[in-house]
Amino acid sequence: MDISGAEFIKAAALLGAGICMGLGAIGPGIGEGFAAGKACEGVAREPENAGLITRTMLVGQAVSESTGIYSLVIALLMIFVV
Amino acid sequence: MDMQDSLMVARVVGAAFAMGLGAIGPAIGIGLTGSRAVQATARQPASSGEIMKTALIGMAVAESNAIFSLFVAVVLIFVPVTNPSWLKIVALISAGLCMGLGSLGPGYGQGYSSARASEGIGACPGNIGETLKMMLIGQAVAGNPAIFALIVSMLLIFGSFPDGGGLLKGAALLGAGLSTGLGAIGPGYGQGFPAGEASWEVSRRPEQATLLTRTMLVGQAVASSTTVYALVISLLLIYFV
Amino acid sequence: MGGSTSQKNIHGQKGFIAFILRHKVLFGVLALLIFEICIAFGVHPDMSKVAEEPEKLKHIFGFAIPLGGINTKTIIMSWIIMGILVVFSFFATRRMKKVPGKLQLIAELIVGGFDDLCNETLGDKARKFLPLVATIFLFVLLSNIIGIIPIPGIEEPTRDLNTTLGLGIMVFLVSHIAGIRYRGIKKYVAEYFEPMIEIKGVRIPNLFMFFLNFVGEIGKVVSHSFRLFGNIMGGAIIIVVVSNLVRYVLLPIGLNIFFGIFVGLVQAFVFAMLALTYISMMVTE
Repeated sequence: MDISGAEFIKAAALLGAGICMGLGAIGPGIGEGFAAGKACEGVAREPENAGLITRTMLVGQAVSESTGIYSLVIALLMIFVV
Repeated sequence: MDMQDSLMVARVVGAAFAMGLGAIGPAIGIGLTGSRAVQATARQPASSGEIMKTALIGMAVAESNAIFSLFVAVVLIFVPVTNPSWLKIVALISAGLCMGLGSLGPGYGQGYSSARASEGIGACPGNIGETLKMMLIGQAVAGNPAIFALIVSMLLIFGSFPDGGGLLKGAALLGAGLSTGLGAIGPGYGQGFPAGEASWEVSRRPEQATLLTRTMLVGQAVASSTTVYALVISLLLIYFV
Repeated sequence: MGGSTSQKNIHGQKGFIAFILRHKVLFGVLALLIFEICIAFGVHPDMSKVAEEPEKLKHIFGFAIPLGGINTKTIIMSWIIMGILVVFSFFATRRMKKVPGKLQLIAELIVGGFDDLCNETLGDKARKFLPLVATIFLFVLLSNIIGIIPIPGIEEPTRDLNTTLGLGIMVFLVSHIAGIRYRGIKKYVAEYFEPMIEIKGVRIPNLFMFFLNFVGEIGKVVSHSFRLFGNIMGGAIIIVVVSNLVRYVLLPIGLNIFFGIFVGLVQAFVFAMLALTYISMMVTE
């Protein structure tokens, strides 16, 4: 079985895409969940500020999700471009 | 070694990965629930019945992840391979890895939420109805990543992958399993956390149930987006490479 | 004394019917179980079809359909569900009374519940979006639950990614167009560059954040629709494989009810709630 260099690189990129997205999803998942949990606490304590708390939570989650989106972009690049 | 032997090796190795890794998360989660329930009972022996009920229901849900792993392991070992090929060897190992890794996070997350719910019930046994409802909804959503992992491993087990893709397709199949499997760890735990906090708060303030349900669901939905990205990458790797 | 004997007489007269009426939920579930078992003996779904592509209509009137064809089963099931919903709402609202009948009560519960939710989230714009959100909920709920009927050929339309992605894109378009309409194009565009860089009180749009926000908006649609698709598809796969493994002995029925009713209800609620939240994030300041 002979494998050309280009094929080997592509194969590594495909495997890498899977690992990239998989590992990249761990951190944002935990971080966003933490924000959501704390928001639940806050809403229960101060229901009159529910809108403000929810919006703060969403902004925080959106920023912490950016690393997950980086992983997605890199994974897509590795599948379709490399 | 002919193909059938190689396939059998792959099936057994995949099953070992599925069950061995898949038992970790649910076991820790269930243990956490048990320990918190015991603490709560020690503090409030009068409400031991309610605490027991909550903890048992929560443990049963957290255990469903281990049952998914068991299910995949049983399918891998006992169900004959319908369309054998050399690529299938990679696919079967990948399926086992996917389900094994995939039940780590949800198992722990669901266990955490039932632990917080039992604590809450221990403090306020009167609001068991609202707390149980909140816990079950939260756990149902937190179980999504495990279900995604199950889908991907089923696709890998029952899909037909004719030889010809060679090294590329093999790498893609292994990547597909790892993507959803690893990608389920974080969101699984992350979604369990708000479910637990919301159950704890609703046990003390049942009048906020609607508001809390909304906040929890929205937070969980955003927290689960990365596992959905991982699922998308897996499906791309399985079908478009 | 007389009253109690006459009541006893009534119960004595139609004791069996009264017994059934008193436990109608129990008997309903039992009837469903028996129905499932009867059907299950005649059905043997093929396990190798789990990972296969569904059959598609590739040509219509001699023309090839782009993007690999249309899944006709999904379309037919969607129309059936729409028909059920139309008939239900027609009969529920035909003769409205102050003291509601059974159908009207169900309709009032659903509409009232969503009215409260929309009011809490959207404030004065609630009535504009209530019909959309409540309809999405009802459609998705019925689509998820219809799979519980164990007749081959009846499939959840939400099992097809096309349905869920269609719904997701619809919510995306509605929320963004509403955002532009209610807040003006300037504020809408400026939102993409948040958080902006501030130098001596001058706010400079952040191009880097534009990229992130843009991908984040697309990611919302993807996660919104894939969550529903994944859950319903997962349930369906589990039911087929387990049914095959245990040869239709009792277990699939419980699974069917769990995935059909419980998961279906939770996911429909989550889907509608997220649609509401996405709209409210765009519409409110």
